Amino acid sequence: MSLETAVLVGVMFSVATYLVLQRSFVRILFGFLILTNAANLVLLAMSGRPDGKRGPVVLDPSAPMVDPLPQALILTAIVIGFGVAAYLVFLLYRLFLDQKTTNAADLYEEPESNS
Amino acid sequence: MSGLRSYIFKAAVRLLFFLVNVFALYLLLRGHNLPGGGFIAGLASAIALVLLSLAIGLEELHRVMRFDPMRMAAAGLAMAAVTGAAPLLFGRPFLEHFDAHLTGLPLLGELHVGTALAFDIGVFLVVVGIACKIMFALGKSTQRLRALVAEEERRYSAPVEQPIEEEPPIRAATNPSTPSPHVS
Amino acid sequence: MDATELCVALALGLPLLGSPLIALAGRRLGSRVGWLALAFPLISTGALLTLAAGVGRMPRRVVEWPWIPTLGLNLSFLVDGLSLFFGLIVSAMGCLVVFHAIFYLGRDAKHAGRFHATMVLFMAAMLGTVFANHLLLLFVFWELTGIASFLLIGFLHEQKEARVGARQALLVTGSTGLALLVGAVLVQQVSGTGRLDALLSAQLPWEQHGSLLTAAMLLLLLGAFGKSAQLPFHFWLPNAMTAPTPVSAYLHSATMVKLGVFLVARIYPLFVEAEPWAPLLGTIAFTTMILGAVLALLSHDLKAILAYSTVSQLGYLIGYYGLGPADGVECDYLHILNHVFYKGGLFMIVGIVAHAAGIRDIRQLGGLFGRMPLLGVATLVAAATMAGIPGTTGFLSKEMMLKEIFGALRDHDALGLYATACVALTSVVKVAFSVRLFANIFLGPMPSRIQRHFHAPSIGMQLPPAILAGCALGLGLFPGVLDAPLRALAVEGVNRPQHLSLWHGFTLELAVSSLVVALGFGLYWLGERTRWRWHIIPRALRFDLAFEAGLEAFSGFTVRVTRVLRSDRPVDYLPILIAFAVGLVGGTLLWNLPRLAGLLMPDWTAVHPLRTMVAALIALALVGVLVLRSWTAQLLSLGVAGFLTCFYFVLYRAPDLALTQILVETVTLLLVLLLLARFPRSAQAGEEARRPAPLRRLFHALLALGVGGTVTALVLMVTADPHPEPIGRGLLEQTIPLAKGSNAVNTILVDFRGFDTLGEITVLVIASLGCLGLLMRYKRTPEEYRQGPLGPPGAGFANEPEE
Repeated sequence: MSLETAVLVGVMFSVATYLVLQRSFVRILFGFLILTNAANLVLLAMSGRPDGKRGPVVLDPSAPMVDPLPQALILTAIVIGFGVAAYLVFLLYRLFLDQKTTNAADLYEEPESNS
Repeated sequence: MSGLRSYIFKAAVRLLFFLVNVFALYLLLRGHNLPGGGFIAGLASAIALVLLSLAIGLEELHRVMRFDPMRMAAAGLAMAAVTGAAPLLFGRPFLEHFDAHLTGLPLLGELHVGTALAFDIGVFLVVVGIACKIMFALGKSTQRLRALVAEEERRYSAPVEQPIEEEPPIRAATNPSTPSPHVS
Repeated sequence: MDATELCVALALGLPLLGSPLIALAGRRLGSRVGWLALAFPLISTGALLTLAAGVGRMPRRVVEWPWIPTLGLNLSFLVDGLSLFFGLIVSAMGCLVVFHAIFYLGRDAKHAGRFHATMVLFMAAMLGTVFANHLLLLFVFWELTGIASFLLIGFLHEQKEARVGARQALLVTGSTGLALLVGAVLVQQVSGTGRLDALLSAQLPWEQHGSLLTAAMLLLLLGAFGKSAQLPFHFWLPNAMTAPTPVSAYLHSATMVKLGVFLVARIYPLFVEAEPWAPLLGTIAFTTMILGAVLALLSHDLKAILAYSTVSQLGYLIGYYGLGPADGVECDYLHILNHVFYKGGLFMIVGIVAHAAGIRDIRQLGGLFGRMPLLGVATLVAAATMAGIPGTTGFLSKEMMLKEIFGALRDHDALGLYATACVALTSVVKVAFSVRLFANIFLGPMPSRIQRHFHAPSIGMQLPPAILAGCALGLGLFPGVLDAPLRALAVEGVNRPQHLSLWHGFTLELAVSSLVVALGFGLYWLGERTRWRWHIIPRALRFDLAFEAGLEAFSGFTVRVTRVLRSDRPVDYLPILIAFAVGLVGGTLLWNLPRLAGLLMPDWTAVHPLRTMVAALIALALVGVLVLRSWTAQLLSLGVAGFLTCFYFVLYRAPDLALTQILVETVTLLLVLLLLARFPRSAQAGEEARRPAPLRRLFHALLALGVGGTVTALVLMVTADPHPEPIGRGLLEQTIPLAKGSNAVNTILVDFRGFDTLGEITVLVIASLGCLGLLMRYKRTPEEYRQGPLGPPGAGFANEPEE
């Protein structure tokens, strides 16, 4: 059990949720980026406590090593997260060019506010 | 970007570009045995390219590179897929890897090569290609340059689609027709 | 394939397969496609007659083809007297109706192919229902008839009434059909089989599963009531009359609505001795009977009169099975046959009258006998049959009806009395509207409006009702002819056919019958005297209006719920989703807290000081993202958190992750920086002004804390008890021997789980293609659109916001 990771993940999820619930698209984007990292850390916590173990590079087969599978999964997740983040950035950019706003409130409440 | 274009800066970045790429290649080749691999090398290489673009400018880089990074990504994807599919021809399972250990080579001594490396190179090409393409496209577009060349515009747009909105948008005072060089 | 199989395949399979063919041929042939469609009921009738000829030797045959073997469901068909009787009615009536429809639709009919294809599809579905040997197969065909009926009622879908009627019919019969499905599954679960031949030859386990079987019976009967338009579902049938008249004649009088009767007859031997069988069927069916008759008398639309009288007669048929003794009822076939003769005929006649005169309101009709003598005679016979005048099958049917009801008076005390009263009253009312139907259409002066409009119907159109009336008259005069076929088709446990004769002597039934006729004429006379002014259906009996109002209210309710949840506005919708997830997962955790307390107990000794410090720094940086106001400052804070995460990965002995994270973090930061640089300063300043109200912010904060707490608890719980044999250990051991690489993370990525990686890079390429597509897909004015994709530059400079 790794208490510090669990608490850290909780903090990250809290911050990310709060940001995602905002109306500013930039903050939503930030929240999403934090969420990606937080999910990665959840996976990392599954590999157990690393104390006294070595990295997953088999140089000495007898030494205790950490579980490589969560790490491989996280590596995939980081890269996919990058792809999605890039898409979000472009989406925001397109939204800004078309709607001339960076705030969800403009899209729903005051449709023609700053034209 | 104009403020950064001092001669020394450019020269330093070119050297750095070379060094980072060599390092990326090293990371790629050693990836199977030590920390590294296609993803990491690809990202490092992409960052080197971005750095270069800061030094010499996006348009200049586009002229130097002479090819579309997206093609690189497509080639990488094809390479990975072919590596995976090739064993099927010999009745082996999809994505089975083979390797060979060569000894007595001149200059290198011994070398270990495997199809896994080909797969990893495919990953590398994909990551370099898409990371560069995305960065360059967004960078150009936000600098009010034309993000894509004419041929690409035709490729990525959907001419059959209906106009999204009927009412004409409010035209800004600035002249929209910034001339921009194209390389086809 | 032996003869029986061949006959069943011809009768059922051919129309089912031929229906799309007709629809295709309709485009080429136009209205002539009807003659092609006529071939299918003719072939079916021939095949079924062949089967019926052999029914004396083999009372029960099963024909089977494999269909869904895993469910134990085969295309299994039961050929016995009951299915043959109903099958023959369906196919023979199909011949007459299709023939009638060819002339009714006329030469220049649009969509004749669609019409005939649906009719033949309906016939196939009907035959499938009556011959099905498995309750689930029966259900499939049962709902198929409902769908065909929906399509046919809504055939003139340009009219609103047709759409409303079709929707009502589909909703009522479809939803009650689902009750039938549940009942069928219950029977199958309780008795171990859904096959009718097995069920009929064995006893149901009433002792062990009495209550379940009762529930199954009620559900099956609910299906029958819906299909046969029994109270409280009777309202859909009159509204279904917006269909073209041949459809009404076929589906809504002669065949489909009799499916309920058929089902009751089919399950009669299984459930007749159940406690609620007689009271339930008796009460509902006889109430429907009297209600239908009264509503028929109160209606003025020709088709509405017939529709309500159909409801009434169906009520009698179902109630008849309800009161029947355990060893079978006597004259059900006669009653059904009689009803087909007169009601099918009358529907076609009404269609012809409406066609010829252009009016369907009985108050505006009259004097048509001179123009259409053949039709007048046919109507006279059919109306007399409906009224039960001697010399027609209607008389035989009514005599038997009265005799049986007097028998019921002896067997069931209160119920018998109620049934007798209903039957007597209904008979009187029936005589009255039968007389009205004939007299007010054909006798008296012809209104001038009709004289102007009238055009004579073709003889082909009049032939089928004349044939039906002829059957009613001929068999009514010589009832002995019916004895042999009815006896041959009788099924043991359901029917006990009696010898039929015209004259039984001066009996009580004859006296009552005469009295009924006299009273009926009296009622008609009364109506004429008062010019039918009191003939308005009271609002309380308009169940269809209540149904439509309920439907409206339901859709209004859904709109209100949607509006409350605001699923069209993610800003408002996301909190609901998150609250639900937190409530569900967090609530479950809290609920089970006593049992989970051991797992959630943190292990203080395992806290690593360096990791704790890095974690605290990351948390601090994240709080910075929350607290800082400027976007750039927030981004920097976010970057700090990301780079510290790399260090956290290092502490977790994950060098590959740390490398990847640091590079991805760099690229992402650059991307976001490019984006933020593009946004005008005014946009960021505007954020402050639009912060939500404090109460809402508090709610969001609580939600966020809930999510965080839940995730922390989950992580603690999952990591407290790790799997003793993680997959990763095996991968570590195999990485050098199998994958020839010592970096286990890399060998997993390119070798052990290479397929994942291939998928991943594919996703990356797709995501970047999506990005480029987004760049190109900008809001264009029509004039920009005309210039094509190359017109304005891809970044959409035209829409530049003013800074």
